[in-house]
Amino acid sequence: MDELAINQLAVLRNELASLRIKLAAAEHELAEAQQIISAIRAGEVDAVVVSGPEGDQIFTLQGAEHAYRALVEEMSEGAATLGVDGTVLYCNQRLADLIQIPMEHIIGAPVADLFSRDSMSLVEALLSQAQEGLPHSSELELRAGDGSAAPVYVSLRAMTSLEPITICMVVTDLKERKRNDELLAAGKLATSILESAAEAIAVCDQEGFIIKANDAFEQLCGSNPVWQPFEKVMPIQLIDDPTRSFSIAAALQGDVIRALEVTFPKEEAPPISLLISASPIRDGAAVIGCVLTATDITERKRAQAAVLRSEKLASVGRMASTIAHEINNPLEIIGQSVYLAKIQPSIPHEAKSFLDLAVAELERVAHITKQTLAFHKESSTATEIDLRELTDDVLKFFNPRLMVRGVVVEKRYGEVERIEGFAGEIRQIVSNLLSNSMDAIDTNGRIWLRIHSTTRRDGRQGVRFVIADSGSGIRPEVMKTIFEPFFTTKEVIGTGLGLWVTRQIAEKHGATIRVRSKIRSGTVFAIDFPAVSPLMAASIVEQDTRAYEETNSCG
Amino acid sequence: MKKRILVVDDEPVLADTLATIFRYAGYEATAVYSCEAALPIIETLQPLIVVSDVVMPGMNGIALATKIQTSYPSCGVLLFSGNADTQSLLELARRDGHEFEILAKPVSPPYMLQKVATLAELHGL
Repeated sequence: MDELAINQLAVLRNELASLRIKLAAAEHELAEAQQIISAIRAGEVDAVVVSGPEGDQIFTLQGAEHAYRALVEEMSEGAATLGVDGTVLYCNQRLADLIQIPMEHIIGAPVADLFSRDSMSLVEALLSQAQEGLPHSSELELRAGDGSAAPVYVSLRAMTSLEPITICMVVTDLKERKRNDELLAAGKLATSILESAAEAIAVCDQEGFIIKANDAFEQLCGSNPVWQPFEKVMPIQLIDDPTRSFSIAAALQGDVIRALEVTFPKEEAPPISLLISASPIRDGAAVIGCVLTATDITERKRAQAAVLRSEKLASVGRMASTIAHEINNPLEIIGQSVYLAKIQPSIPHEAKSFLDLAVAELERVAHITKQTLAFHKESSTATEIDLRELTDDVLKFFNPRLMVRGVVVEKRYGEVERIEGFAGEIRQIVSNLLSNSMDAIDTNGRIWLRIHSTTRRDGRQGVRFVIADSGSGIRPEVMKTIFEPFFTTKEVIGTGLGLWVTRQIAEKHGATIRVRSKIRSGTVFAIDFPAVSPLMAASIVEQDTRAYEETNSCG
Repeated sequence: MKKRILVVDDEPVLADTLATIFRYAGYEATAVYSCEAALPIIETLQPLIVVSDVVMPGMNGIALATKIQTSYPSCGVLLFSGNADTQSLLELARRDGHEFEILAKPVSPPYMLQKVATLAELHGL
């Protein structure tokens, strides 16, 4: 082997050795690179820091974990990863938006710089706790690019499985959540106001369809009104002008309707009086709907009408009384004059017959005024009353009407049935009950009258007056209220005072009233009078009976 | 001696005409127009019967009648009224032990004469 060849071999051996070393180094680097790549693939690395002439630059990675990254980018919370020293390694766009600083400027910056001065110490505390692996969160303030502070909720958690340890930070914008909470609370408040309101409230959309209604409203219209046109659900008419229907069009055009009195006709019940108010709901300038409130004023109207009617009756009574009184004196004088003329001996025979005629006619006028006065005036002396006679008297008064309606009255009276009391008031009771029975029957039916002595449970003697009819009966649901003032089922003619007055009088006389009724069969009223009235015993003197009589006369 | 009657009514025409009727019937009748005016005349005239309206300005007929029954028990009283509200006044008088009858205006003259005649008999003359 020549020397040249030996040298070349040695060189080659050296090269081979150095190549082997290089290969080993390269293999090592390759292994490292593969490890990094697999780490990146596994999503364990968020960014790579590359040293360059302008300092370290951080490259965020896109790879197999793209979907997660997209998720993080899309989520409504701000998110970032931090190094253990607090350097921001990565942040999503949302966080950048919250702080109003470009993402590149956030990445690489110390995380404390992102927060307001007040929050910095807390951030550092959070960081140190996070480094120890304790998850921690707190309400903090971000320092936005424009210098303003934004309330946020920050959670930090160290990802100890990663090497080096990375801290995840999630930032929730409280400004928005606070507003949502407020909206939510306001919504709940509005709903509870709507539901707890005694008034019926409905919200209509632009087209006049009801989009929301409270229970009171649903009760008022009797069915679920939602998604129905308001005018179909509640076809109401103006009280002042029944030919005109109420329309919410005005409210939908932006007008406010205040306290309008309307009637709401019902199919199987008397119409309801309502007080309607409506206001447009606006979104900016545009009207997007309206709110309607309806207050049931039926009772109020009815009571008003009854009071008005009773006042009218009372004033008519007063007027009749006054006129009768004013007429009585002139009548007296005319009577006296005619009498004086008649007794003159020189009077011609023909003149005398005319004067007789005048006397007869005068008597007629006198009778009329006396009757008018009697209507108004009642004796306030408690006396012994034969209930049978009194009832027959009242019957006489009702007879023409009973006959016209084809109502047959069957009487069964006992021997002598006397009670003590005010005759006029007892007459009022009998008259009220008879009138009610007649109205319940309408046409063709029967009324039974029974008057007989009783011995009360306590051994005291009494008289029972029973009136039964074959009428329509009293609905069970109104039974409780029939004795209440202003309660009436006779919309047009009733004052709602009849039974109330009846009970008042009965109680005053120490009597008790019982009632039994069956729908479409009839009603029985039974009044038990004591034979000896507390009125007589106490010898009550009614100083002013007028008010009471006026009440009676309109029952 | 003629039986004396005093008529009291705040309506002078009425009082006068009624007095005239009594005169025609043979009474000695005087008319006054208030209870206050009636009192001194009753004292001097000593009438057998006083016929009085009830509701008048000032003293009312029932008060007058009560006073007559107390002070002049021999004098008869007949009340008449065109007013409906006399019941309570009557009851007040009744509580004090005075019973009166009130005729309702208009009272026909023959009826009035009949009532007065009965009362005159009762008061014995």
